[in-house]
Amino acid sequence: MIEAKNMTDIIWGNGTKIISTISFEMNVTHRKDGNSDKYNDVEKITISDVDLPGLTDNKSEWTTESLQKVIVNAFLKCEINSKTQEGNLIAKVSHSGAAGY
Amino acid sequence: MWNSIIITNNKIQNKDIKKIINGKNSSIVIRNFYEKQNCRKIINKLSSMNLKNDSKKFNHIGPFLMNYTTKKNEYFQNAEKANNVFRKIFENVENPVNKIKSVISKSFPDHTILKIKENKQDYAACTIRRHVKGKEVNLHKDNVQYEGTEYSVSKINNQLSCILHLQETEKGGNLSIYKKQWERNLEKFREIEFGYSNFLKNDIVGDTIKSKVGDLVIINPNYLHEVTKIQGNSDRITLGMFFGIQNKTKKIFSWV
Repeated sequence: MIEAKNMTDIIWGNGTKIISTISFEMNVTHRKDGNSDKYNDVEKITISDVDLPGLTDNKSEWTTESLQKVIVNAFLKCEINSKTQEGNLIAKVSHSGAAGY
Repeated sequence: MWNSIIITNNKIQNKDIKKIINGKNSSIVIRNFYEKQNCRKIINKLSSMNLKNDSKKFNHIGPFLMNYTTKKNEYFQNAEKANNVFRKIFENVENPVNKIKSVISKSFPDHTILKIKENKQDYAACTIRRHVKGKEVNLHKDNVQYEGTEYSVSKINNQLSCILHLQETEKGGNLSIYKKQWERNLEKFREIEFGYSNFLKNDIVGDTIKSKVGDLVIINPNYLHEVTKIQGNSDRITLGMFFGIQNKTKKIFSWV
């Protein structure tokens, strides 16, 4: 059961552990000023959309190994859409600030 | 001390390249690599062409692959446009991209420099960046093997960065490089927009390279580096390109 929360909050941090083929744990290091919610230093993320180099958009092809390669230790941006009743954040996940100079 | 290898005769040897790959030296600086007169012609041409920048925010001509890590089609479309612009910019001067390729090629006598294509599309030949007063480039690395995994050029063993100085600023705008190689666990020290926390350079030996117009600087860009704040009134304008070295196939690719 998913509780829709119409948020556009953003958090950043490093992936630490893959939980399933669509979810992972993240150490939160940065939070957008003006986020409507508070976020813990460790959050569980369920991926709604993805923009990560090396990972296909097709969720049915994802494996824990393929997520491990692109998520664990990587610096990630999570744009939060909603939250599950269990407290997982449902978010679009992308690599953040790879370049730009 | 961590020093540059200074070259004054436009010739670098493979052992020099190895020294910057393995971190024995910070960089190779080829003094007066490209004629100052040609640098001036390129600057004048840029001014007269009324070019639209690829990125208004950062003011550079030519797409930078790392800004398109998951947008390959967009990268190659912009690369094609940029390569057409570069052809016009370089039409009446010695082509600096070819000159840089030539010096790299000569330092790898048993390798072949290939014009790599992907789906029959060319990578961008170079990028020309204009940094204005007040601009600085945070501590960062360039590592296509990590962030460019969707591109063929990521399948390399070593990456080199070449920066040709087309116009210098009066004060600041120097390249500083630190004797600390990026590794994946440094991602926890990332800044949101770009680069890494300055904390990482504490107690790390570094080298600040003061370049003049026409100098070519070659570094291993996996060592953390930054550009200090431009404090002069003149813009800092550079031409940059990357080379990737494949040991097994003895091939070298270039891109930006």
